[in-house]
Amino acid sequence: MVKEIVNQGVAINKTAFSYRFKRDMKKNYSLYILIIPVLAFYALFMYKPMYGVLMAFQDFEIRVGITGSDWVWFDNFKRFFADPYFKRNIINTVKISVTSIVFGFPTPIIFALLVNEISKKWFMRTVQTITYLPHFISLVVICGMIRTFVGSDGIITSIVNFFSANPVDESLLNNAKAFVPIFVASDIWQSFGWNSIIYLAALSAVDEQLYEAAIIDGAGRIRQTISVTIPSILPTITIMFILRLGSILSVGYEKIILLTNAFNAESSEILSYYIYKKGLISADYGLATAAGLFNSIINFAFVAAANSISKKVSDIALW
Amino acid sequence: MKGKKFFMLAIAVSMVFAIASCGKSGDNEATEVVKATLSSTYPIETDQTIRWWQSSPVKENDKFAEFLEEATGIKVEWEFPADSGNASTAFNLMIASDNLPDVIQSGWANSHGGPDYNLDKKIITDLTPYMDAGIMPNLKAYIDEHPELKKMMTSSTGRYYYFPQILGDERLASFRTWFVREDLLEKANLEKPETLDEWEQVLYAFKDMGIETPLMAKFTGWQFKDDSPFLACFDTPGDFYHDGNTVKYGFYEDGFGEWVKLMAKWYSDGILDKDFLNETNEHWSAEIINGKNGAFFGSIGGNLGTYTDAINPQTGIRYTPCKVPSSKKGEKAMWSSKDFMVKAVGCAVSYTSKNKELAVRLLDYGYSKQGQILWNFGKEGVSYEMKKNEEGREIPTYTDVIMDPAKRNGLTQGEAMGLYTRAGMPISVQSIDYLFQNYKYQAQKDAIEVACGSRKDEYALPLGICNAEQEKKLADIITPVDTYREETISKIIAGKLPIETLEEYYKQLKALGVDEAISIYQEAYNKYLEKNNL
Repeated sequence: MVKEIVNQGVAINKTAFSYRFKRDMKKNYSLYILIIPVLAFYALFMYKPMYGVLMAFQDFEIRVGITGSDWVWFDNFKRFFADPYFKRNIINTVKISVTSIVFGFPTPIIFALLVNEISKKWFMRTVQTITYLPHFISLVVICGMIRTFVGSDGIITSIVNFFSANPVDESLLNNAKAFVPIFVASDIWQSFGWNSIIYLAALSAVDEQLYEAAIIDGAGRIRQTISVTIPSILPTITIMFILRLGSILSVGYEKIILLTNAFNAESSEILSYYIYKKGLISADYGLATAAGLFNSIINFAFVAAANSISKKVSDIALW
Repeated sequence: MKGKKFFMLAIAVSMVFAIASCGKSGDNEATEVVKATLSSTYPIETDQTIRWWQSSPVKENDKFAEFLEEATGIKVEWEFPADSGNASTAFNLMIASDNLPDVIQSGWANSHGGPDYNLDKKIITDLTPYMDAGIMPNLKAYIDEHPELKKMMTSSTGRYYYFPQILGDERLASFRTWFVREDLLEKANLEKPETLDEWEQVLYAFKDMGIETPLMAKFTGWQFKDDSPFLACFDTPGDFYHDGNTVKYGFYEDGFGEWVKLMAKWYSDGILDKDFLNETNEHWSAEIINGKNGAFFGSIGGNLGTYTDAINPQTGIRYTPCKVPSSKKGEKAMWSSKDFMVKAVGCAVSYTSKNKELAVRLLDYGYSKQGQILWNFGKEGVSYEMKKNEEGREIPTYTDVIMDPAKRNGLTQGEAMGLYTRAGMPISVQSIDYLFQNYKYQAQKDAIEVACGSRKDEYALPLGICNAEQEKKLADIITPVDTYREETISKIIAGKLPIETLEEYYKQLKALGVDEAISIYQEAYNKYLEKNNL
């Protein structure tokens, strides 16, 4: 008796879904056509290449491809973990990543809050344009500028030497301890203006009535910011933070290649640079894929953890 | 419902079989029997086209391609990557494609896995049957004339596999050497230095004369390995090598530590450039052209040629080439930057080619008398004429379309040479006559004579002796060793770490598994000796 009812329930639900789906198709077919290119894009460029992760478990030979290469299962991972510099690569990656989250994540938020307070429109636009600009400069040029500025007679080196007890006459890049600050600071300079766009958009959506109510209650500028503005954009901040954690191990190798040298290698050799060296320079595709897969798994774990914590604490979540 | 499940299962099973069966087909074929079918004279009459891949671009109006087609009768379709900057990636992508060209030009002798790997994986064709069938008579004749080259052209199982670039003269083996300021030597009343002690004397004398950087040399990347300046004076090369039949690793020997100590002393005394790790070409030319430098280690064409062009003659700055510095007077240095007589680069015929015989004949032409001239000098009456040189020997001499700036249509000499010839990298026998005509300054011509003066051939390990398995193991050991060495040694030289760190350096190398790497090379080298009955 009970069984019958359950079965019935499933059957009804199913027909209900396919029925609703068909009806929806008929009604909104133009919208479905519109989404086809997006689905095709994801299928072709995001899902199809994914089968390439199989290389991580193979002694991959490029001539015969994935179907012809020998399976070695976890050998590549063993080689990856056995590398004497494995630990250093991970630590350096996390160091750079955490530093840029701690200093780089709040910067565009604070900047957006400040810009939001500007009442003169022309001034606001000028400030925004100037701060976006570095985002559009090629990384190669940026790194060339960095090398010049922190070179033995560069402007930043001169400023540091002016305040320092023991001045140096060589590039700051030759100092391993200075590498992370140089890397992160230049990163923030290049991207904070661009990253603030999303927060400015969120700020413009805050209901004016809330501010009016706050003013009537006697709140000053700072009180308004703390009690109205920040709570209003908190969901955006949380989502951005979860997404940011998703790339905790993904520090780009391009900037590293352009700034590394033997003196700062102890803090500049990172995971993606290792993958680049193994995969593109030594053509050891299996090992590089294994390292890349490891990278993705860690990143995914961070997103998942952050998401579930956020869901429990604040009810704001990606899924 | 059941039908659906069965259908899915069927798909899954068929997919597994499809995957398993791929790459298995046709594994055990008998060695092919090869017979000559084409006429034995050139030009060959054929309507077939040969596809030829190389990493550097071939221009639309390339004259050499025309000459080659005219001489052999074979049409060539040149293929090359759009971005020649990353040759190894382009090569890997080409190899991964289903439609391989007939002829592939690459560094086959030191390719991934070694020549045997590429033969066994059916990427390239075993040329031995063609050799036996008399289809490549010109290369065979050259090998018969120079039997000592045979072992450099065969794989570790004794198969022929590529048409290499062969050096026609030992002096082509090196294009880098030491240059010192002749005018400063005269001023200081010193002889051209030959040994390490003499060099030290000269460099310190330059320092006393107020020269900012007495010695410039690049230590980064590959330069920190094979060519590390003056390392050979301590009887240790910067690489794996064999001493008798024993394989050794230069960076693991005591001599290397001695060299590091000397470099650290030179650095702190201001003999070496302060920025030796971040050397850029701009920095080099600025120092050299402005007379702030006393000596440098660099290339004869690219460095000395360019600098001599740029130096104002009124400054009196004159560079002169020196012998490769050695540890004892009158003795040749143990090692220097120097190629083998058979270079790693050459052309192989792809395994899947439909026109193997034709491709072989096209490549073999380069080793005939006329073919050698074609590759080195182009066509008579157009790019060269037979003329007597200073010694009275009649040689092919480049004409004005290459040598006269007014008749080159705005090309540089090198570009013009590349348009009419492939003298720089011929798939043929490279001619020394090309090199002497290529360099215009006397100092460059003198440099040719001294640059290759080392005994490297007695110590260097042959190319491509390791198999794919050994290569992988070596890479796992050597990559971290290179990282560690480059960091530690740079810091010791620059005084950021104390000299005593060297003790730890040797211990760390041991911990990183250098002994195992040496034994892998030893095993491979023993096999090589066995194969060649040495």
